[in-house]
Amino acid sequence: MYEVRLSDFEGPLDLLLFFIQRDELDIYDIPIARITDEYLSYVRLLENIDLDGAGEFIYMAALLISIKARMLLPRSSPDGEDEIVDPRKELVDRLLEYVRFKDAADRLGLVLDSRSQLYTRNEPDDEVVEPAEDLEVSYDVSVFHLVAALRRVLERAEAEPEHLVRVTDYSVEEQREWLKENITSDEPVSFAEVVSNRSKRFIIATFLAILEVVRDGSFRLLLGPLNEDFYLARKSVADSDDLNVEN
Amino acid sequence: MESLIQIIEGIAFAAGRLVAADEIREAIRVVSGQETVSVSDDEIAEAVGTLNERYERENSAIRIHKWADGYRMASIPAVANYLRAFFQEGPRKLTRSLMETLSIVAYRQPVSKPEIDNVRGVDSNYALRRLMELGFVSMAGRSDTVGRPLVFTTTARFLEEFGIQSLEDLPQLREADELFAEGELGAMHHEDLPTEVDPQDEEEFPITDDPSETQS
Repeated sequence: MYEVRLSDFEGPLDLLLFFIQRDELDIYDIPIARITDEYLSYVRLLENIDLDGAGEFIYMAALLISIKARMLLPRSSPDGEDEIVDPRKELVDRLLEYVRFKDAADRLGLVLDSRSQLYTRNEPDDEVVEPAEDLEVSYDVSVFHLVAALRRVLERAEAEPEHLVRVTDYSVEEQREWLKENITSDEPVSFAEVVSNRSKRFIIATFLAILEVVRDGSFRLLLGPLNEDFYLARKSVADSDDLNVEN
Repeated sequence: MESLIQIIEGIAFAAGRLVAADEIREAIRVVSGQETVSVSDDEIAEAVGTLNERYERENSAIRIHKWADGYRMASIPAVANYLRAFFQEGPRKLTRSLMETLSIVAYRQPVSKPEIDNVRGVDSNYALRRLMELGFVSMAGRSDTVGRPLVFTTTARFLEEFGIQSLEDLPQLREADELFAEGELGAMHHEDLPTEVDPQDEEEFPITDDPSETQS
């Protein structure tokens, strides 16, 4: 298992790239129908957990649907002369452009890394170079991996009959406290177990609370090899130095 | 009479900030009482080069760098681990959304917020605001295009904090085809779950430098 730390949520283009990478799709020949369906199922989930920026995902979903519709139209031009533009072209161009800047961001990060090795006297008074809230250690693990795990847990929760008589609401704030009270060990515990036999509302509020406690550094998050579940553990000072591989 | 080399070394040591060639000239002018001073940029650069050669020869932990449009004294990477431990700080990094937004501004400047949003597919309001707070990005007037949106550029502070002299020194923006050819896109996503690098293992610096360097 590997430890991850979440920084910020990723955008609609990242989600598309996530599918393309996962299924090893040809970016120049994206199976739009399949991607659109899968994209929509994620968007529904994102709406459910009310992540900030779900609107951007919905916008992308609409774009995918319109491309899918255009793909179904006859593809010959009336005069037979103009070159027919693939309805996916604009989206592909955007993805390619985005990939270039993702790469540029990675490499600029390396430039910053080498500069960070050089220490100067009297840093400018504002010392803003390393704002704690913007620190991150690893950003290669996508939040979509976690969302995928959440989806599996939610599907299971749905299958189980609910015996709740009264609907109880859970706030993210309450769930933060709940996590801190109930997870006291630095041994990783499974997310699926933590929320087993709980209502969907409980699961979603807990999931969001987990994102927060992991971000603020009080908990560590570990991903299993199959991305089917993830694990949560208290962060102790002692283990801050051997963060990585756990099995 | 003090040499130019000594003057520069003194100022660079004590300033604790980036020092422009003009500031060095101005100091010399004031002391000399002359109207103008004929010290060229090249002479200053040469003096800095001489200093750096000497530091290297003497196995000093100090170098003078040219960043943005000025000079600044800094320690060498070999002692970075010790300084990090001394100042008790973690690695300096920016979040991905900040790095992405900063890259777009750096390579596309002057660039408007709608252009940035379009590349990233998300609203970049927070990232831009944060980058401006950090002093890496600033507003640079309005574009002539429809709606005359505000445009953003990177700052001298960005160059300084990233240790580069000018925008030309940024790594070349690579073409998507190139990234595919190298399997970078695949790699970018396939390496999936990275292991964290323990900073202790990252680099091992020799405590003593190559003895051949001490002779010269």
